[in-house]
Amino acid sequence: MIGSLSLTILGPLALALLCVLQPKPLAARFFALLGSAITLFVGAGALIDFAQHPGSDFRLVESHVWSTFFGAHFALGVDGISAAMLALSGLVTLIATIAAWDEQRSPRAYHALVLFLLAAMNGVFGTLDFLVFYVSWEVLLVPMLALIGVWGGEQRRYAALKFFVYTLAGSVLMLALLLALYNATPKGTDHTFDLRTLAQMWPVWRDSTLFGWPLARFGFFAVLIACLVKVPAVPVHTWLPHAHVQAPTAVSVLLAGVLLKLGVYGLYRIAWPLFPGEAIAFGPMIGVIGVIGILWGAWVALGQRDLKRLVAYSSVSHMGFCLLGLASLTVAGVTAGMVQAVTHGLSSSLLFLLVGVIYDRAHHRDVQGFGGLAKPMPRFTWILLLGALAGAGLPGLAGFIGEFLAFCGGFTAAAPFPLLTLFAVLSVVLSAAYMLWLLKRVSYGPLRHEEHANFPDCTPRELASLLPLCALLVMVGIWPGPLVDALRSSCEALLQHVQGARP
Amino acid sequence: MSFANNAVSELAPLAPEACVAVGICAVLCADLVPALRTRTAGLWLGVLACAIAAVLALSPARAIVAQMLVIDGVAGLVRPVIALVTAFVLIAGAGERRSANDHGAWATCVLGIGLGAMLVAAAANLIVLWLGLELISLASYALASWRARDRRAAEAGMKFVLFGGAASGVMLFGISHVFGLTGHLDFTGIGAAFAQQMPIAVLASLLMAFVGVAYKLTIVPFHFYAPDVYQGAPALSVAAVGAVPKLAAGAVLLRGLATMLPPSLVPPASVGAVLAVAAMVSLGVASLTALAQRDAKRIVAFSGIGHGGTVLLAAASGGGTAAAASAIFYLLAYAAANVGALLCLSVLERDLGSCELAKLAGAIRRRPWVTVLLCLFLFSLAGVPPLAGFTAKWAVLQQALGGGPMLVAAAFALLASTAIFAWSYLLIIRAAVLAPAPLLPRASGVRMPLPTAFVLLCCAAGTIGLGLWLDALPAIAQVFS
Repeated sequence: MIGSLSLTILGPLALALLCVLQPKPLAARFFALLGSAITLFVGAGALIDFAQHPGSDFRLVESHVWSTFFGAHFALGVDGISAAMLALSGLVTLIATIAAWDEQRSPRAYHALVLFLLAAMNGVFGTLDFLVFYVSWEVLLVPMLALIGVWGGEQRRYAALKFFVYTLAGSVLMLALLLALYNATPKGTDHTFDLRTLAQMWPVWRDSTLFGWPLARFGFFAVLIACLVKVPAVPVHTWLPHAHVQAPTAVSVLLAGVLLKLGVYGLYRIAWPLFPGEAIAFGPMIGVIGVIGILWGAWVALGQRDLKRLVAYSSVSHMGFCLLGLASLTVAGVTAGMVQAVTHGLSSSLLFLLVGVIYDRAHHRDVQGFGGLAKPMPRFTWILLLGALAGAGLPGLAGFIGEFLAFCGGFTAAAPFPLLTLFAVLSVVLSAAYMLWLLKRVSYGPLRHEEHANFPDCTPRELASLLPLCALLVMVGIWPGPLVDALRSSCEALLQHVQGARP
Repeated sequence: MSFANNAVSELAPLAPEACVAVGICAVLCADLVPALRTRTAGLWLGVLACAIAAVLALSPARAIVAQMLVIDGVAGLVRPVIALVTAFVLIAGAGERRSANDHGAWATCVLGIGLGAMLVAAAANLIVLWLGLELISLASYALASWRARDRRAAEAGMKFVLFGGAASGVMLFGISHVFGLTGHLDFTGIGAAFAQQMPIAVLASLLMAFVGVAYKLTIVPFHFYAPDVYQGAPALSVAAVGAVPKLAAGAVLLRGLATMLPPSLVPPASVGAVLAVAAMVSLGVASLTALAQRDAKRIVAFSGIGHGGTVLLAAASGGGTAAAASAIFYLLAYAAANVGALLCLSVLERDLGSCELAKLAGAIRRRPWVTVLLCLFLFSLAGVPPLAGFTAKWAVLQQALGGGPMLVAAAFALLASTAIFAWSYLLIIRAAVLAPAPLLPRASGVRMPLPTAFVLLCCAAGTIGLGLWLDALPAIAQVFS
């Protein structure tokens, strides 16, 4: 039987095929809408279910035998964490599809690739099997390569190849890990890739070795490297500004809104559950990496002239909070990491869409080349104000929740986290500075260029993609309860599992 | 009468080979009829012969034919595949070489490679092995230098003949030593004699005797001809010259290791370590050299060298059925993706004039479907899941990681080379898909010939199907045991 989670993977795949097999671009657009709507429907449904009935169990579970010999199953199921991610991937893809509605260059192929990407992302978020996880993780490189490389800007080829090679090199280690886990399974036990079972077997990984190294340590670092490249953490973040600058608006939205979350999700789903001992031992190190990312990203964002680079570096900064929260190993911190992942998905998508809006009018993204857009484009300015403030972490907007929880977790955690958190708090000032500065230079002040006076304000289609995000940012900001409730039980269970590994 | 009956029953297992041989004769006869010469009739006769041979070779019967040929599990599996791949190349030829007027000669050469490969795959005797390899070589020489007026083709053919002749000479030299030292030419006899005398001398001469096999597997340092041949010959002929002999060479390598070096006499770890080092050298040289190439077919050639090394690594991972299954599965995955990629390149080559990376620009506009399929095959060769190349690499890695330290080192070399090779394949994809296109018109007027499309779809189905069918490995291992 095909369950609803299978539908979120197979549905987009089938629709992607339909997109290229039929001749009409318009139909392809609607297929893309349909595919992301299915995902949003299933993901949001599961998220609401978790908000109403919190629990750390896996729901919508289904399992189909893939290989009896290897013990691989096409096993799907979501807990609070993956439900939130699934909903996010559906929402962001839906919005990116609306934003790319007018895409003129090979629209059928474009929407087919977006659907293909969506299927792969859902495969990562929806699966309970490490092999399916790995396959989806790798497969999504292919549509990204094409989306950036074909539909991107001037230097798109370089950016696409850099993106591909960075992330491929990261995941080769994960393949070695899969094999090592398979070979380390004790005799008499059935081979399996079920993540729940693998997590229960953590003492086995701790006690077996791979060339004299504890397998768990090798595994932890393999997953860590693969995930940190995706997050992206400093110093392996350098692909991100390139990829963002060259990608078309809608692909930037997908990249910032969903793909960066894959790295965090991989840590939550693989690295921490399977290797809890290492997660405890190296927690401070991850915390330091997170704080370096927070400060470095914010500091570099201050100096950017290209709007997309600015938002990209602010992403590096914001994603650092996910690492800090997760590494702190407190309920507030671990929950904060996921909350931050969701809210950053909303706010960065909004900001990239807004950059796209003015790029479509001015055909450049140099922050020095704007000014006074508030007069010709009042609606745009209001939304930019909201997005910038959400990005800066203003209380009452979604960005605040994740950062605040991360600070709570960091200050209550064991040393050295209070100190690290103290440094991280500095970023509140920095992010307010670059966001407000952005706002000032783009929208306020005198109108710098005469021709900008004729810029039309946001069109209905642009509003259709912007307003849902605004609404969600406000809603989560003033009423974060449901989201936090849905995430907390799963995060608590993860924390309990990790703490169980303390000697 | 009883003699005749015996002869028939003893030779019955060779029916597939006989069928291909009859096919060759039929093609040559058809070529004598003027009305048929310019048509593709000869090709279809060959296809028919190969198809029948494939069906006959599927028979599960196991046999030993006069200590010369052995139809064991490996041969039972590889021979039908060889026949099938040969048939596919011929079918593609009917689409790609429509305008040619030398169908009979071309089909004869391709069938010759198929027949030689089937003999090699079943060989259990050094002389039969040598004969089979020579048959493959002679046909390959002709295919490589088919475009006689083309300078590159002439160079490729000359290199091919010189290297091939040298390899063949070394091989014969080794065979004569093996015979002199052991008094045997059949694998089991050599294995039995191995126990008693002069292991080092026998080992050295055996090594020489297998140079021909290494040459067909394109293992470093026997690989020098491959890039030039790939570049000089038409892409479709390369599919026959490159993929088919590799299947056979892999099969006979597995049999040779299992029967001539019995684990009781030669510690498998030492053999494994030597082969693993050879595999590492092949992987390293090929992956790094491929980065510098500027022609898609040359990149595919270096990829073939790397894949040959990987097969060697699989064969090095102990003599068990699981290791043999991983080697054969790897070859199957390679054949599907390699033939597919070369056929795509053949279409593009015809459209754009050359497979140089600079000339491939705009391929995606001109031939969108072919280019997408090319990417699929290249991703499979690169080992992107869930395609066949990934599953095959997975199987080989799993075998190697369970072995000694040298094998584990080679496994990591394989992982590293995977990442490096990915970059070379990306160079092709970049040239064909991402490069700024000189606004080529879409080739709507030139429809894709039906036979070409059929073979492309079959290769794609094989590439995706073998990738998703993880239980193929135990199924193959079961055939072997």
